Amino acid sequence: MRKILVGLSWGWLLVFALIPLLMLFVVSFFHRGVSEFFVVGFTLENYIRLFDPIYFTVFFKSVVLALVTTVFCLLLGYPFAYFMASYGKSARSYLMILVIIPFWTSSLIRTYATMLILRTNGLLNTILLKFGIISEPLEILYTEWAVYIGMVYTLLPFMILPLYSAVEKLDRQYLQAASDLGASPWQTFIRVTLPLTLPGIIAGSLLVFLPALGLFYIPDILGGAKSLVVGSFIKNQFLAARNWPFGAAISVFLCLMMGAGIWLYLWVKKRVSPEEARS
Amino acid sequence: MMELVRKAYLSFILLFLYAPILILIAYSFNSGTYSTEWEGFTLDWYKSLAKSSDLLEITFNSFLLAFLAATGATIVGTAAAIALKRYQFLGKKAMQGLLFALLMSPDVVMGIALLVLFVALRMDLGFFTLLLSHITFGIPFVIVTVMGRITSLDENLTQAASDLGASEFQTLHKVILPLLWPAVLSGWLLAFTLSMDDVIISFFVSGPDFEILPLRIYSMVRLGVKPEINALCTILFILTMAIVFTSRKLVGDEE
Amino acid sequence: MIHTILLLFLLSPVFSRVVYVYNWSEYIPREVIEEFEKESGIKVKLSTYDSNEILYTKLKILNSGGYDLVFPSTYFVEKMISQNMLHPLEKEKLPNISHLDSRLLGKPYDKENRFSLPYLWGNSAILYNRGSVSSEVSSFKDLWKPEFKKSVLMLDDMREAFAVSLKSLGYSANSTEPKQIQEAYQHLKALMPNIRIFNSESPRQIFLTKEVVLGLTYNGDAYKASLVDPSLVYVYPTEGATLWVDSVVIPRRAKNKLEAHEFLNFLMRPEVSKIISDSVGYASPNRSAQMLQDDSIRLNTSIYPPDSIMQNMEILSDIGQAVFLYERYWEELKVQ
Repeated sequence: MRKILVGLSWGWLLVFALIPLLMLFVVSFFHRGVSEFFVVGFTLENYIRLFDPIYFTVFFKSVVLALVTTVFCLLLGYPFAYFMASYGKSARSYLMILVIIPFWTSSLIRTYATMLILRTNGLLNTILLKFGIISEPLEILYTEWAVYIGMVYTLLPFMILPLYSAVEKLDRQYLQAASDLGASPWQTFIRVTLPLTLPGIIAGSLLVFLPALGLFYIPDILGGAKSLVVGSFIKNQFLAARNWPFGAAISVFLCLMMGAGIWLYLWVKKRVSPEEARS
Repeated sequence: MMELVRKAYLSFILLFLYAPILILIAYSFNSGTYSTEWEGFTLDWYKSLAKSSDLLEITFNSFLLAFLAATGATIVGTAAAIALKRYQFLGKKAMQGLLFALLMSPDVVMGIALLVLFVALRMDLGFFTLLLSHITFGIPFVIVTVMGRITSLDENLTQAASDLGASEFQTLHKVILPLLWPAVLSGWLLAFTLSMDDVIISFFVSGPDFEILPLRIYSMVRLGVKPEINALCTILFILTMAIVFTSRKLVGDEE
Repeated sequence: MIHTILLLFLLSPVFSRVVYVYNWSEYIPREVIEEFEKESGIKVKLSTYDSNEILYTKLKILNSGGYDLVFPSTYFVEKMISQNMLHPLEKEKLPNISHLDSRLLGKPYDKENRFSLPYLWGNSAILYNRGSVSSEVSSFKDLWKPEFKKSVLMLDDMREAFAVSLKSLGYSANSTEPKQIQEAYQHLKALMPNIRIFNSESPRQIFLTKEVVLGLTYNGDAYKASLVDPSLVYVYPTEGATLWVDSVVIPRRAKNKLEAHEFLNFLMRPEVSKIISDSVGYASPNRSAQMLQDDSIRLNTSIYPPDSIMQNMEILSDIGQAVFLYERYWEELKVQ
């Protein structure tokens, strides 16, 4: 039995996960071909090219995009999770389903729907104009704002869920104790609530940040394909420019960056709550 | 006062999450083609959707693929979860690392890595390459779901089973799997939806003879405003809701 | 449950013969496919792409197989021929060749039409909204005007975008001179503040929703947009537009070559070519089809430009290794 279970899972992962990733790693050292995808050989050229300032800019911009998205999600998601946890059991599970449902529908379709709202003659502008909040329609679609709105919209549930489970676990007696000892609500929040929910904050941030780094169709569709993010950059290298070795090198670099992020997370987590990390 | 703020904030975020979906449903009944104004109720878009036979075929393809991929991912994923939790074996740490990498690596990278593998193996891109890829990216999600349940599994039960003379297989079949059933089901469901939603990996590993819905939606969305997409999306949304609620009922009853 | 699904799956193919067609999106009307299926009993499996690069890469991945009929543009035909990716056409199976317009045959990318035949042809020039501009638009240079800040649409196609810049500087759209290409890049960089969106899948939707005022567009898209909103005007710039021909070719390892020929011959029927041209708004290379077309299309200068304008147009050709330089600048442009 043991042999079957271990063999099946190892075998599958070996053939369809480890080997492909290793092959991609190997390809990243090959030369570019003119009519083939790559020419076998060994070169570090693809990695050296990564240090070119323009590719650095691509990475930098993608990281900034992912970071800003994460911060917005956190700012919007934290109060939501906090309020949600303060409700009774049935209301909470009801709210929980409401947060999860959008996640079950195609993200592409939802991105398309945001396009309908953000258009110059779309719903948002129509409403704002009708209520006299603005006098000229806002140009949102195909700008950076549209990209941020789309990213936050798609990834917000990933932030809310871990935050909620952290807030829910929070022992309300600590909060009571803090206020009994004369702490203002603000002090209680900064000194007690925030540190205790930190693991949730980090987990949520990671769940938003990592996908945000790889997503490319939201910037393409909502941003007007003006600014390359690393995801579309990799895609272009493989499909349009057909420089597979360079595309592979960027992929390897992206994975390393994400690995570093995760390592940082585990390191922080260990320092924040030593008991939990050990279990 | 506080109560009001709380309610207002929760409603605001929920509105943010639901507005696009509601808009889409509303527009699927709007007779105007390009305008965002309401021009009257129509079912034309649903009718023209029903007429495109290839769209129905593609939808069927997608369901078939998602069904088989979710099943495959659930089998391998459950096996891996049980193995990881119950046994010590060579390369266990490496396997955990690999799973983590699989879970975290961006879809673009995964799609390309699989493409490189299939090209190297000289496999024709099509149904099988899609199926293998979809099973693979579903596995870590099944493992995560099932592992959560195994952790809360009472060790005494399996101990008791083997004390009473049950073989490994019998223990698995009669004790562990029935207890894991709700988690296995939700893992399957997660893999199913992920497969129905995947654009990026499928984009790289699909071939000419097996088209699937997410890719068709992708090209439709890129082509822009077409009322038929709204109709299609509405149907899919209602379908997903139905699946989610039925399964919640099923799982919820057992939990 | 599994049994039912598998059974359905096995029962689904009703047609015994199929042809796998890979075409540009919205480039072949549904009714044409249905008519062919009804008449021949051959099932048409259609997939779509939206750039030559994607088509080329997919064919390379599939080792010049997978699809039976594909539609590369002008210079990609040349590239595919030189890399032995195509199957020579069996002309005896294509009697309808006689209907083709000789002006569109024997082009430099396939001099004897051994591998390719024209499917549709068109050009890329400027579409603008008459209601939103202060003066007439007549030159590529107008795109650079400060009044069009954030209101220009550019085709998301490297060669087309560079053609605009090169031509407005007075160079050839096929320039391989590094200095000229660099200058064109600098010029495009100066255009970036005006560009609202890069899009080549469906520019007309963006014009119709009024997100942009003017931009580089394909003539067929422009024609369809102007039917909905007559204030949209298609104009040939004084520098000359780019001319392209989308050809039909059969990949070397195509499995259903016989069916591919049958479908290709069907597409060259005058009445079929007429329906295609009418519905997508691009010009038919089929002389007999042109005769059948309504005056509103046949005499429409945005679809069939007069000779004086045609002479001023340039065909994009394969520029060899210089393409790497273009790619590099294109990336830089999109990174800012």
